Amino acid sequence: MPLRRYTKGRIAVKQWSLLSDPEVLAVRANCYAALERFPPPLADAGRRVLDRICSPNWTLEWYLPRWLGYAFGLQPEVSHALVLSNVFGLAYIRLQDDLMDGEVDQTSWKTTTLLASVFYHQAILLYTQFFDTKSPFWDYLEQFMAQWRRATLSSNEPPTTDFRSFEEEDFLRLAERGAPLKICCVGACLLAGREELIPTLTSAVDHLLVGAVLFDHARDWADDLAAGRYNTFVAYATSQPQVRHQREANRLSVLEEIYLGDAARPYFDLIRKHIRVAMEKARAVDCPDLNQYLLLFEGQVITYGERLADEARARLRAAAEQLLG
Amino acid sequence: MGRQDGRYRLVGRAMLDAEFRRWLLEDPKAAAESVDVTLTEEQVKSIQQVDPKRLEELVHEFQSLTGVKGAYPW
Repeated sequence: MPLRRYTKGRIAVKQWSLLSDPEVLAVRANCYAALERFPPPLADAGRRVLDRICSPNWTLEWYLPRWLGYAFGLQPEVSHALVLSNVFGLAYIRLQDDLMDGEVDQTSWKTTTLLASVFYHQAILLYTQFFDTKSPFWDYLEQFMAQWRRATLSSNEPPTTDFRSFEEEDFLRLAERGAPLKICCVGACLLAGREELIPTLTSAVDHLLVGAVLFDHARDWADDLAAGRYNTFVAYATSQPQVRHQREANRLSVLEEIYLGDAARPYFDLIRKHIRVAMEKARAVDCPDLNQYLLLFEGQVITYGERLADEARARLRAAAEQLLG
Repeated sequence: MGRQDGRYRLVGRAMLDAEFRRWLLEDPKAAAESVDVTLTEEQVKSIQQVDPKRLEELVHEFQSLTGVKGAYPW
């Protein structure tokens, strides 16, 4: 079964434009400069990866360290370094996804593997400027990378618990492939001398990521079903196993939920519940940009759910007219 | 949505369940009653007159709903 990629459909927010934001451009320039030190095949491939991740889907990775920097009053150059490290970390994870998805052909396998280690090294190198070996930062980093490794290793496996019986911990497990995003949160808190905020902030990010994964699955359910990837939206509609011979029945179950159930409203409410928890926790951190992002995210979920219900209603009406006159 | 309107419940079922669809075409009244819907004579006639090819196209179109695009308010 192919891997489901690390939160590939993270919400895109136009108001934070990655292509014209001077700070983002400066981070990109620094990334390119860092790559210049490596042999051309690595540097060229590295630039391509950076271009790929400079996309609205990755808004949070480019902005969250900066928002936290503003909120905590960090020096701009410190925030800049946190963004840079976050972007290198994201590049590393994207390459790992490529490798594990079998999307890297034999000829570029060596370059990709080396490049991944370059990106990881660059990310860590930036943090070593700020944190000595005894800093709790490194324990957090290991904890979040361990979460990511565990989630990535098991991403071929459907959860052992039926989605309808998911407990809090099951939902939080969905967020684990995005766990590296919490590294910059810890970095910002420690640098600001606000260590006490780490549990609240990282928990807010966990819930945000749960919401993002659930929303991703709602939008990609048909592709996931066709590709044989586990999908929570499908699991919400039917408790039947997501196996090949069940694919058609599962597809019809999802359509039944959309057309004849409640247009998956409880599923979208569940996403909103996680966003709300994230908002509540983010408020305690007093980071206005993160709150605004969460508000926009919630608005996007509401709009999507409403449009899906409207579309289903319109199609039902049209079919009724054709069939019943 | 379908819960509020028996007609939509009937049509939705017909669009998603091939066996039920066949039954509806063969015996509209009985099939409709199985989902607690009473059809008028006009509706029965309308079902009986439906072109099977057109119906399959309709089913295909109906089942193609996988999501909505452009749902971003900003």
